[in-house]
Amino acid sequence: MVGPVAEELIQPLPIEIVVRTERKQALYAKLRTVSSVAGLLGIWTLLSMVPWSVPIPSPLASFHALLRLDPVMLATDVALSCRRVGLGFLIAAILAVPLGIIAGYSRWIRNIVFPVIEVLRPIPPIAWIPLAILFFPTSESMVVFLTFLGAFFPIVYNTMSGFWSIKPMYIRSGKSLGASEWRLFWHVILPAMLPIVFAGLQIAIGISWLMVVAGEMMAAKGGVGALTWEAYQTGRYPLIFVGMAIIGVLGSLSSLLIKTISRTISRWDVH
Amino acid sequence: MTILSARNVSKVYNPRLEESVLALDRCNLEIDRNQFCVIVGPSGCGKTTLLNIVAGFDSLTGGDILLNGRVLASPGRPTSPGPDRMVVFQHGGLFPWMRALENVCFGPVVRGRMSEAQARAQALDLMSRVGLCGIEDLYPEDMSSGMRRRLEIIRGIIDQPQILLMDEPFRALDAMTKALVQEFLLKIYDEKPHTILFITHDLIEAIFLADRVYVMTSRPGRVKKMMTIPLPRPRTPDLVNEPEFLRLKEELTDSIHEEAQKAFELGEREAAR
Amino acid sequence: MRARFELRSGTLVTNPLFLKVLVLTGAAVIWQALVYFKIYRFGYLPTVPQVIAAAVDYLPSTRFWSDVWSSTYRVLSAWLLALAAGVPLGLLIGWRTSARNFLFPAIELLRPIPPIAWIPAAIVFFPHVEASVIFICFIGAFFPIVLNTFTGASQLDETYFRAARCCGASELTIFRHVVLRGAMPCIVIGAAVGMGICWMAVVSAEMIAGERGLGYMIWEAYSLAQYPLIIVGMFVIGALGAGMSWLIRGFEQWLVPWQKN
Repeated sequence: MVGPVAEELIQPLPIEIVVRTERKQALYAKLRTVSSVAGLLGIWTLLSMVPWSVPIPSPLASFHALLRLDPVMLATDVALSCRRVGLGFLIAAILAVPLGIIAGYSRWIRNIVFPVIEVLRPIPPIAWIPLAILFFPTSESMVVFLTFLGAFFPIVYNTMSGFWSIKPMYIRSGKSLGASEWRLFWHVILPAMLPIVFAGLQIAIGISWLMVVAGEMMAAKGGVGALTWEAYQTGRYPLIFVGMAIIGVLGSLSSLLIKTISRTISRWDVH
Repeated sequence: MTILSARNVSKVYNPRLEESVLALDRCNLEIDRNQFCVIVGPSGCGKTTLLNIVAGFDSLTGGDILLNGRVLASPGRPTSPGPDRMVVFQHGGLFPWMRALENVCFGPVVRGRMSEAQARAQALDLMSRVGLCGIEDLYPEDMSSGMRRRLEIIRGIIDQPQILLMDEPFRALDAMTKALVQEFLLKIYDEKPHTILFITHDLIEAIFLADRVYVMTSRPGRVKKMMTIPLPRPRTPDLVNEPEFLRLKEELTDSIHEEAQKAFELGEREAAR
Repeated sequence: MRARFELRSGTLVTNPLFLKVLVLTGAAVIWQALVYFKIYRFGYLPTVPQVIAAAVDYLPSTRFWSDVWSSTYRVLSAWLLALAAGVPLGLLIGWRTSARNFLFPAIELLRPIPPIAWIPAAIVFFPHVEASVIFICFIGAFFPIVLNTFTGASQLDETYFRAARCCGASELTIFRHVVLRGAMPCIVIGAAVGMGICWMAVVSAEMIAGERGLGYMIWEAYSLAQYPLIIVGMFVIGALGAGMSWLIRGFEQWLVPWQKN
């Protein structure tokens, strides 16, 4: 506060300005969010009333289908999908981050490894599915391989990109302060790379989720993708939307998890 | 003849809330036709706020502003920006996705005042007269900062505004470029005088350019003092060492220093909160 | 930098293209060895000569061209539709806060659902397979386009708008000349990302539901035990996807000539 406000300086203001106080604005923001979601549900309901050849289930019917689900089975499915994603993603991260770093340091490694990655990267992970079914003995290992594949390329690329994006100034500062190669790496290079690496991890987990769903829909037993697919095959259409919603929620949560971890580790990062 | 007249202009931010801030406190200002008027003051004193109100980017809560005798802005009836009050910004005024010529022609063309061909011809003519030829096809990013400033000044005057508002336009330039662009502005002014309202915190720049200097206090901003600069035109760079100039500078510095001190302490207190 | 492998024979070994070819040939050799010696389960996979034979057989055939055309047609239609719907929407919510407050929550709610999750619903509720596949691809491209366009429009400096208003521009002019042109770099990025996801989506949709196209071809090759063809198909899809992304990046020079990357 910079001293009392002299009342005679304020001539009567129009009503709109008086009404728009901060508290009211927060209320309006909440109202808009609610009406946005309500609008979406409304459009959905309208679409469900249109006489298609196959009628689209209404939001209400889908909600009922959700309630009728056996919670234990649902939990098992969710846990199964999460486990597959987690496994594939972790293996990919453990392999890809060091690879990216080593490739950043050594031109030899880069020249050997990267042509292969460059050729394989444009192939959508989904296209690997038939090959993966051929190669992997169990559907479980196949799905984990798919999630690994989905996560691997973005992580390698972003790690490399993070490495190359480090400002030479940081390295020079570190060296001029007398840091050894190892200390330089651990205290300067690694932290500087982290924001971009985490961005890669976030992209990667999204793709991992995609791959789990794809793998489960095409070949595996159990999991939320299989749930959705079975709903389609058995004609329980409202359940399809339930499956979609669950997949969406789980995908968001996993992205949020990575984001939170990244913010905790890189507290200094402005992103 | 008075072009712009600010009468008891006040601006309060967030008037009904607890963090209300009095930015301007009954400012009075007058600018005559073809007069080069400069406002100086410490940071945060509200000089940019005043310019924004005249330009139409902000509204006032007390007093009023007259342009050519007619009310431009009053409480509850703010004005909107327009080509009669063209603004030259500190940076970011030129569109990066348009080439130099297109940037300059933008105003006249979009208002339908003239066809594109006419606008281009006029712009090219103006640019060559002030020595800016050859850069018409450059994008702003490819130009030097001095060129960008000069281009923005050209864009400001091509539409013949009633008053040209300049918001610390040379602040980001290095000393040599600043001197050159100031000379450029004065040359244009000497050739065809415009009514100009110029904001700066650089005292030497203020005296060098102005016919009239207004000194503003630290927040809440009030017009503390009005100084007339009787130096002859055209003004040459070596004027800066003349005794008359130095006298004016001393007068201005004394006036400002007190306010700058207050603003500094205010900033410290606010930052500490 | 010191060239660490300077041979007396000259610069052949240092030529990057030669190195790439060398590495890839080496990888093919390793693959062939793994399959031939039936290491682990590699014996189930096709050998390099088999793949080459399948490629020689498939690539010049009419089947190949009709597959490419089917997939490309679907991707392009969906992508263009996504641009037509997504760019105006993204610009609108980036420009007007009211629109953003109203539309953004709904978009954020639908965005996490991956295109592949929409496939069962699309198959059931769209009368024609073609429409359902294009819909899936549309969903894939739509959200990155909207999001990137939104980012581009909302990040524009307020000063541009002030300058435009000073010049006397109408709101429509501002939309055309400031918002649209200013957001263009981000729009191009969104278009490129959207195209990439479109390709992923078309492959998955064709594998699961389509009767034509490259994705379907791979799945059919699998069910007919024509395993070498699978690998040929994979590389064709990869090449086409990369080619389309490259094309879009080429457009960037034309659409956004003022940005130096």
